Amino acid sequence: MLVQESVQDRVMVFVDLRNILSADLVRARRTQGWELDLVALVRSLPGNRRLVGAYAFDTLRRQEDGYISRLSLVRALRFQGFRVITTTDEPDEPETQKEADVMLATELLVQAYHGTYDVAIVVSGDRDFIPAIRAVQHLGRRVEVAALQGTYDSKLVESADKFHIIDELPVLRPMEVTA
Amino acid sequence: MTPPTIGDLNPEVAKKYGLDVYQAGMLTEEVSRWDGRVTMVTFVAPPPREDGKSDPIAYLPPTYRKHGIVDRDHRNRVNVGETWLVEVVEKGTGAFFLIPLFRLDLKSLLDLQPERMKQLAEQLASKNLELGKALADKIPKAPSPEVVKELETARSQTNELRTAIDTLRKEKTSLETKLEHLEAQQYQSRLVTFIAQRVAPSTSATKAGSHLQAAMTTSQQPPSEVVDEMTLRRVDQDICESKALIHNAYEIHFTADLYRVVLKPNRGGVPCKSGRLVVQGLSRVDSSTAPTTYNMAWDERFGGFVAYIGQPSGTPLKATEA
Repeated sequence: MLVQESVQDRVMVFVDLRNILSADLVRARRTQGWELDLVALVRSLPGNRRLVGAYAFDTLRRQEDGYISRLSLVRALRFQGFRVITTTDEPDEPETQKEADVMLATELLVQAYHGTYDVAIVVSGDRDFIPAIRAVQHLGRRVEVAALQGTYDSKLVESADKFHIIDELPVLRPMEVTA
Repeated sequence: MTPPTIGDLNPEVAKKYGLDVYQAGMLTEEVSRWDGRVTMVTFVAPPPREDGKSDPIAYLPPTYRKHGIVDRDHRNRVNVGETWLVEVVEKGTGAFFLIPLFRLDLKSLLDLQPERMKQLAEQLASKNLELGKALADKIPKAPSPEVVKELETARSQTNELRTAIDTLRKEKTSLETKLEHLEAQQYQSRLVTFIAQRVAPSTSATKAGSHLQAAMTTSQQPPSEVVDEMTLRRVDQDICESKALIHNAYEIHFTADLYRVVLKPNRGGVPCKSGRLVVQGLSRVDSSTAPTTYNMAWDERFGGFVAYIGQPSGTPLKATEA
């Protein structure tokens, strides 16, 4: 790698929850009895570097009966130390993820501007983040991208300083069987 | 009273005001004709009079036997004790009227004679040398060239020290980084040593010695002989054991491609006893019931052992049958 990594580097991880949870591989693994451990994912990505924060962004959807999808996951992530930023779509609204993407891009830029991290790792394969990544790089921060095979855009990978393939990271654990 | 003295009054001034008579040998004789003369007098209180008048009078130099009184038009200007240059107007014999020209006090003298002011200052300074020194000590002094030079030297030394501190800080950061790597290597070495000691009973003393020697000289990767020993043996469906598993608890995760399982020591809640632990979910990946041995390696990036449970094309080590 051209730029040498240092254990002193402060790493902040920004997870696009819907992008990773809706990936085919994750869905397939779920049917096989595996669940994605987001904490393990966020811990694995920095390697020996210092993890200083983890954000998760998602658009929740309220169903007709009032049930909000992934709310329990969001609560669990908050409990485990994530800063979770969400919006909630109402049943009559068209399903959209754009607001969550903009929230991620905004937080990525704001934290870079405040100098709270040296390296940002964006866990998403969405090319919508390319302008935000370039802006952060312009501020002198490094941006890495992590995504599952087959879920990322090649231009996104080109814009990043480093690319992590999540498939090779220890992120799965067996689901607990409930009676 | 003591007659006023002129001292070293400027000769030109003395001549202008008619004071040069003192220097012409007339000091002991009465001036024959005072009318129109200008002289310096000090006004004093007059002796008590029957009519009660108390206008100040002045005795005329040089003998101070005769006196004059202030001209009636100027009485309000003159006070007792003041010294004036006056024009003497003689009326009849022995009657002198003094027209005050200007008062002689310290300010007027100094204003008139800048040279004199300088002389006075010098005299005052010489007579009050100690007082001057005491005052001088209280006045802030401009730093001497030596002090300025010392100050500049100190500043340059401070800058050098700051540069040195910055350099040392950078070195400290670099050394801390190296230390962390060395600690990781040390942990690996201790692990390798432990494994070597555990396999020693089943091998010759020479081999055990070579294990230890290899462990002591290990770098990033453990010695090849020991790597062979670093395996994860599956003894039951989800139960594995390894001589490398020396900690009490592990955190176990599979990679998303299900080719590897990572065991991180001192984390998670999977207990390990005598090198044996439950790798829950392993049977889902490998459904065979036969005992299998998986190759295992220490991965510094994850801070744990990576056991290769699948057969991906990129697997660095090949699994072997037990």
